[in-house]
Amino acid sequence: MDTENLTCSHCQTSIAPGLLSCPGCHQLLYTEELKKISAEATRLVNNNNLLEGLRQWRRVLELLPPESEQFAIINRKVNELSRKVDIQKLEDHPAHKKPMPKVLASLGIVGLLLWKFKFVFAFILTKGKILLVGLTKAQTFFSMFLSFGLYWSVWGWKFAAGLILSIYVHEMGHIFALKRFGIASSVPAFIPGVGALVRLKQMPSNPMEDARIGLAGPLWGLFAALFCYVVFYITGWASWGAIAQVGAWINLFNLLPLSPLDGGRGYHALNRPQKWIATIVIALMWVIVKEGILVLLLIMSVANSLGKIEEDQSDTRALLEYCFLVVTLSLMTLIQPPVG
Amino acid sequence: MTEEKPSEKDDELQFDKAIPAGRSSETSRCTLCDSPLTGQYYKLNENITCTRCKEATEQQFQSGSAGGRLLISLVLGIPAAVVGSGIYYAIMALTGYEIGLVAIVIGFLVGAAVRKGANYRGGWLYQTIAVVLTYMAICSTYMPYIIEGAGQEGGGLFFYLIVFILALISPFLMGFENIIGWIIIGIGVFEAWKMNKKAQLDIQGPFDIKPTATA
Repeated sequence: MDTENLTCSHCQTSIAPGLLSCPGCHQLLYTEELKKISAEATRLVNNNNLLEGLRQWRRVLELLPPESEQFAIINRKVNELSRKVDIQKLEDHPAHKKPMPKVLASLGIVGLLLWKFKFVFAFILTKGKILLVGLTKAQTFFSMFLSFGLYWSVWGWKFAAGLILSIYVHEMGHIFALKRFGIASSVPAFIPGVGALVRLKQMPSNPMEDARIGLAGPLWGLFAALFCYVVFYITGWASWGAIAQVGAWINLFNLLPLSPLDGGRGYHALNRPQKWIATIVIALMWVIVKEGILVLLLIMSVANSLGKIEEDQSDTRALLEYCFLVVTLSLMTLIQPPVG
Repeated sequence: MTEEKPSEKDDELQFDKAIPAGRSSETSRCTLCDSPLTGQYYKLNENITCTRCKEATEQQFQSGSAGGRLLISLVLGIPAAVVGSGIYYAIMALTGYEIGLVAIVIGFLVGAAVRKGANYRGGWLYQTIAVVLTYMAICSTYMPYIIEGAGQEGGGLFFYLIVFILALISPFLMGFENIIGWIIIGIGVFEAWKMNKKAQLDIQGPFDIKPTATA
């Protein structure tokens, strides 16, 4: 709807461009669209298509004045749905869906490993294909190419390629999490010398969503670093070891509990006791691995734990993910690829 | 009055009129002074304002002296640049790493300080001040290397002045080998530049507001 030079048909008040309701009588300017989209959203949720329903309710929010009661009601719906989407995806995990077949169970530990390995293949074939999607986008491809050229000039092509791919996998972790919650975003854009970023076109509606999205990047980055480490371990190729170590360090840096870094977004969902637990984990890892960046994490974490906590919230999963990442990434910084 | 449960409110959800949260239905209010809008209203950037607030904002935007703003932006910007360099050195001392991304933090600190000193007006002059101070703060982090390379442990004020000037030109001397350093300087400087863009007061209106008939 064109809201330039609009006059309200109910009360004849002139409506300034960009408004969503009439300042005189509060008539909503997108009534028909709102009714249509909300009906569609309700239908999708009733048919248990929670993710699409969530996407539609987010569209409704964009057409409502933020200070309205309707916005508050729809926002509650979105928060409720996003919690259900979050749980639903865990319950859809293959390990939850079916029990291990008896024939594999009879093989003991070997059967268990084969059953777990099946999941890895299934994951790669389904979720892993998202890794290819980003490469088809011009902005991602060309900015990646530019960054690759820069890093090649400084560190050689092998390390440059590995570094770029590690960063790419990290960003696709964010994209995957954003898609899970039906949040629109840009494609990853590489910034030579700095890293990469993804711009959100819609904001997460609650700290839990923000934590899932924020920590998804380092989680995927961890798996990329682990993959490189396995290759290094098997082949002894120093480049892979270097990429694993640097990749781990970069993802550990991202865990700084400072907005807008990924760690800051994860911390946002934690309550005070949980933040202190994370602080203790960071302190322990610093004592064990003596990695310098952990000092910075520790200082920021203490400041965060002492600071003001805005809402009464708690997110055990975010805490577990954060601590898991701190421990594993810290240990991976101990990788010593051979020099030369 | 009993508190409504969310499910009751969901059943009443309608998309004909926006219900102002926490209030009974009434005319909209000025974003700045919260008084009810009557007669006419304006759109001031993203805010809906009454005529009085629009005029007050316009007056404030034109008041003050350019010289005073320039002085205050320097008074705030220089310490911000010093603090930024301090943060860089502190991180280096604590972690053992030189993290180039700190240049962005320096750019942000200096940019914010200069913007505040300029009373959020912005403009090419404040952008230039912010850029120069940011560049000087980032380049000052090269000073320890120059001192180490000179093989001297310390010196008088003149010595440090020479080292500082060398630090300012060192990005040029290092050439293409320092391409990543250039990019990081560029990002820090760009941050400071962006924060001091000239502020635009976008005023639209007046728009007539008609009183609604009460039931």
